[in-house]
Amino acid sequence: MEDFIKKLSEEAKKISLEPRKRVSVRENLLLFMKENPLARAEPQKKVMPTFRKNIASPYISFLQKMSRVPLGAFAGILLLIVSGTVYGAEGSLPGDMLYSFKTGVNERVRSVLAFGAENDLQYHVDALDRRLSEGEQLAVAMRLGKQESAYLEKALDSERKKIADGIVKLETDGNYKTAVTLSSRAEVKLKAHQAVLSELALANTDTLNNNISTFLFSVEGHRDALHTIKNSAVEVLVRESQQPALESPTLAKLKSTEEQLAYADKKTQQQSKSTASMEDEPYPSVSSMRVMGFAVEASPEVTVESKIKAARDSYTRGNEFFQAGEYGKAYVLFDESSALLEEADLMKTLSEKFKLPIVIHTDTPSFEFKETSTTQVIPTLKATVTPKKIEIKTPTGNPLLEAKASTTVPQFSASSSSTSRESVSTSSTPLSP
Amino acid sequence: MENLGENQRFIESYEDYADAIYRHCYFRLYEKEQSRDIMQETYLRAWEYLAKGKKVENLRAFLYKIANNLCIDYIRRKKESSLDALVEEGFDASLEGAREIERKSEASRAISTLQKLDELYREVMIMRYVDDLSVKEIAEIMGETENTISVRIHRSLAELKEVFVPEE
Repeated sequence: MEDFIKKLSEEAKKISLEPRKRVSVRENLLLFMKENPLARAEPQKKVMPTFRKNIASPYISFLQKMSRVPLGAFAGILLLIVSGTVYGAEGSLPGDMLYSFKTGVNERVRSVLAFGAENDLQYHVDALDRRLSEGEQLAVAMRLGKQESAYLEKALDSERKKIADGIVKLETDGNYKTAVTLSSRAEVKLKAHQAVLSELALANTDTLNNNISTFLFSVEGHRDALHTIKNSAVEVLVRESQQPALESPTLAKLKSTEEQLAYADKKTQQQSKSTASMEDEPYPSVSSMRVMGFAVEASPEVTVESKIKAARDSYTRGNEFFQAGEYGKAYVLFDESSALLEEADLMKTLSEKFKLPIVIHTDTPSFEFKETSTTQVIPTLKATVTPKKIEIKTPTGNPLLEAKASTTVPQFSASSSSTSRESVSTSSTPLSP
Repeated sequence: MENLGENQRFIESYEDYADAIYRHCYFRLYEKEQSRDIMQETYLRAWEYLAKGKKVENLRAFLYKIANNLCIDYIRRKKESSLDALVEEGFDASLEGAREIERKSEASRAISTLQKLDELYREVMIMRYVDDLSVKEIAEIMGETENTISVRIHRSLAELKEVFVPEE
């Protein structure tokens, strides 16, 4: 392949105009230029010097100028410079001059302003999203080298650990609802970016592909790790599903999910109108992508629609549980619905940003609550997994402490891109009220 | 004086880029005469623009932009007006040029492989690997973002792999 490109460049350079024809075109051009002379350029106005030219140092000149500037204007200029740097640093990527300003100043300020455990956790979810986005932008700009990839993997690892710690802390405090919601948010970010990175890896040259794949590998690992932590919070909500205290927050969740669904419908309608009016398709159709060997399963529109449909199904099922007084299960399903909608929205945004047809793995999680032989209701999660036994130890002071759960959790398998689904089952001691 | 300098610079640009612009058109159209005409038209239009007193920051990119648009116009016109009639007569417009190149150029295989790519991909491949233009310049010429062009180049390479491998 490289040989082909090299040969193409070499051979192309041999193609040139015949000297006789080259001269003939040149003569035509000269004649045309003579007949159509350039518009006479306006004479430049002379600028009168406002201060002496023989100033010894440019700093003195600067200070002299600044001394004439009122203090308010000086502060304004300073503010402009600082805000310009802050703004400029926001779009910087690893390896850029302003990147250390972005992570060292901009993000540090945000981190300090994030009061409370929930806000702090939300800050780390956003930071995770930013690192993933930076990885994609570097890949698209063909700048994701080994060094950048290693840096981002380390940063991702650090953010994931902080998120995991935060979720465990929420669980320790008995705030299982927020633990489920925020771990879902983190999972959504990882899933959407995972899809984009997979697509970028497919479309890239071998060297870059390796770096993207390495990065992608770590993303998938983080997603599985967070999923495991989320599952333990889900488990508690399912066990305590009929707790009356859960009714009010579940009702609030129901309403917010309804609003999200209505918004998604509105956006889909707008999108279908604009798609119908589009004349040119900037990228090949899905069918032609298949012919080219891309593992495209659906166009972004189709995918987004299927996500919204799945979200609606979860919402409907959640509603049924809510009516039956199973608030915990309803909460889990409303959260799933909300996460699916957020994922659809993010995927849509990313596919438009990078003009990519998004590859969607058919591992949309969907909770099914099954009755076990011990009449215990447990969640079952569908996922792209290879089962692996792990031990989940719970913190002191938590009702879960006495229940040392032995759980089969999704484990990332690098060798397989299978879309098979296996259920995740949990068995644990029921919680005391 | 200043105008004389401008004239000189423009003529120098002809010396520097005429072959490259011609090559670009040749790879797009596979027709020698038409490529030469479009190259000439490119320079005339560029001069017409400058003669109105308008400024161009990157003359090379500007020339490619004009040439690219002229090629697109020509391909579109040709498809619309004459392809049906030519096909009825048993004449394949796209292959005719390729045959000529096959006879006269050592790059025949490379060119015929490029021919198998979609127009959208062929366009960026020629600009990147035949014209040696940077991603930034291609983006400027095509009025797209650098990200879009990078993705398009990656996809072109992927598609090229698909069409190229079976021939090896």
